[in-house]
Amino acid sequence: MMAIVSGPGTPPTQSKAEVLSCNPVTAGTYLLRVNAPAVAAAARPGQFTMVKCGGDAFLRRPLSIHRVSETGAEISFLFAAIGKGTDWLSASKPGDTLDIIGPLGNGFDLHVSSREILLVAGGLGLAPLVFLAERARRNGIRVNLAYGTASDQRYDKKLLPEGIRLVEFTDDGTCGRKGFVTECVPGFIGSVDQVFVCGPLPMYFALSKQQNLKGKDIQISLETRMACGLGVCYACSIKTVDGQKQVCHDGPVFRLDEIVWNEMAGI
Amino acid sequence: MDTINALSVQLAPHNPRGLLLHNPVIAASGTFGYGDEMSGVCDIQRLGAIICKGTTLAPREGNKQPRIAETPSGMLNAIGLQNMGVEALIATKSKIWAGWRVPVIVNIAGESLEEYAELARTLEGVPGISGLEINISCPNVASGCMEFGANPDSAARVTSAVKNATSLPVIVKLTPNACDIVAVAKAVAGAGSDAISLINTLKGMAIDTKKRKPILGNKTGGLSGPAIKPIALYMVYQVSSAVDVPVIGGGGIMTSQDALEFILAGATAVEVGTATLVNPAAATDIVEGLESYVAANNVKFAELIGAAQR
Ligand SMILES: Cc1cc2nc3c(=O)[nH]c(=O)nc-3n(C[C@H](O)[C@H](O)[C@H](O)COP(=O)(O)OP(=O)(O)OC[C@H]3O[C@@H](n4cnc5c(N)ncnc54)[C@H](O)[C@@H]3O)c2cc1C
Ligand SMILES: Cc1cc2nc3c(=O)[nH]c(=O)nc-3n(C[C@H](O)[C@H](O)[C@H](O)COP(=O)(O)O)c2cc1C
Repeated sequence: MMAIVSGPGTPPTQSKAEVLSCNPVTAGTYLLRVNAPAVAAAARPGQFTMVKCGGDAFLRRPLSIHRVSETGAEISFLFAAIGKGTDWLSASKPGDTLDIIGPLGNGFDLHVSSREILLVAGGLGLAPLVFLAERARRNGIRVNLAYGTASDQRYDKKLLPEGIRLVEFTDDGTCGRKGFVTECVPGFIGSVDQVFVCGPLPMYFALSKQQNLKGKDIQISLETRMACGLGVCYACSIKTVDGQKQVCHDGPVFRLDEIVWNEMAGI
Repeated sequence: MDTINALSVQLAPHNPRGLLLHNPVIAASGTFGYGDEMSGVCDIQRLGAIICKGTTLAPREGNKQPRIAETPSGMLNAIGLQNMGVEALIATKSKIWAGWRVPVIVNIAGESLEEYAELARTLEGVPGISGLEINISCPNVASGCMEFGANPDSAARVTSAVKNATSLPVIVKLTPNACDIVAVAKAVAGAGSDAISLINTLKGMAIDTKKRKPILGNKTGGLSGPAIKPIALYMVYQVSSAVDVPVIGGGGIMTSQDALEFILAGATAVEVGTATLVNPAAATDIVEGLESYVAANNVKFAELIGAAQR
């Protein structure tokens, strides 16, 4: 099948990226823009970078590529400050330099033949899906974005790419429909060509149990602890129906029905 | 002065085949894959040698997730020797290595003496392989491996079994999780090991206070990185003054200064592991740092080896 954004990618490079801005989006989440022409030129939606953080953070931290600028020189990250590395990163100032390696991983497999797709974002799972939405729109594909968060602390709608249909969910009902974002998938499954999901593991568990989704083209992006990001250390290996795979190298995007879900429960 | 040749070291002086490295900086096992994965982010041909991921007779799936935990100045890993197995390694990787300038050493691990010997026999004569590193020091597998490295007698038996099965230079990699690492080193040198490398990781643990259980799926793991450097350095100092085969030092080396400390302590060469995970070019940066040091101080590399013991 022809694909717009898959196939063997450009090999990753290590580079120094200048920080352009780092601003809070909601309480505890940040939008970080950096100048990284080589990564920007090679990046495909669903790929990520390994970012060296200062302070006490020893290993690099994996962060999805959230957006690539129109000019093609800058990339941005959307991240939550939840620990040593991301706290340090949230204090980045314009003019600072970050040591990044990327683009890494396989990325989403978006088909040329697709006319309409559904993106399902749980919380910060929105990060890689915005880049995918942009690329899909540019190729004339109709995009539905189902976006769920716990509360009304949400990404600014005005920042989303133009021309997408947004379906909003909150766990507490303060914005859009009350409930879990995955609930909308069965309603769309008959009318869209592909579904792309990114969010916390319970979302994937929920989807994997729905019988009516079996055999559909549903791609998910997984998170595991990583050390190298390059496929050399085997820290991020998971079980799939085709044997062991490395999330950093063979993923982070997998087909929903490819993962052996009961092996993932401990993560 | 040609600094490239100035840094060359012979790691198997008593072996007819020898193991000559252009420089003393080796990519350690388990943090550099099979080498080819790193070619985009590291000038791999600039390295002294590459040691591939620990290899067993049959493929291994390794341990449950999570397999790593970051700890102060280092990390715990419990990969559990996930690897493709020796047959796939020969079929897919050795051909690539055969075209390289940089020598590749295969790290082998087994559950019995016979498995170690069988691995050595299987790898004998395979083009692209310059030596074997016997891993008797992996703390993350249920049986075998580190059990052999914990005492001098069993360590010597594994060494003899492998030496009798191969003409390749053999390095024995020691574990710091032994009561008396000097006794183990003497035993493997006595059994014919061409060189000795140390240290593998130290057994350790980290606990998730929210879940109230160990972070690692395997509960315990091996500690590596700068946190272990002083321990590793002292062990290298002790072992290199007790044996007359070349010692390869490692454990927490991040920079050329760190590497130099191990060389001054008595190491003929160094292994760089965890540093590569943080900075893929760490090992080649160390090569450059050592070249500059030797040139700037107008000193012969051989004079540096063990200088801190004298
Ligand atoms: C492929 C991939 C893409 C990601 N993209 C994003 C993104 O776009 N935005 C975002 O906010 N987060 C993203 N994450 C999660 C992010 O990497 C973690 O939140 C981050 O590593 C936490 O680091 P810390 O130092 O702040 O936390 P700490 O808890 O101090 O980290 C300790 C260790 O655990 C690891 N760790 C902790 N949480 C996670 C996690 N959820 N996933 C993987 N490793 C973890 C860290 O890398 C580190 O090694 C992604 C993870 C992966 C694997
Ligand atoms: C993720 C990881 C995997 C490793 N795998 C192996 C292995 O397969 N065989 C082996 O002999 N040592 C293995 N090691 C140990 C390293 O080669 C090295 O001896 C140890 O980590 C100490 O050095 P360092 O602090 O420079 O990493 C591994 C280490 C790490 C961190």
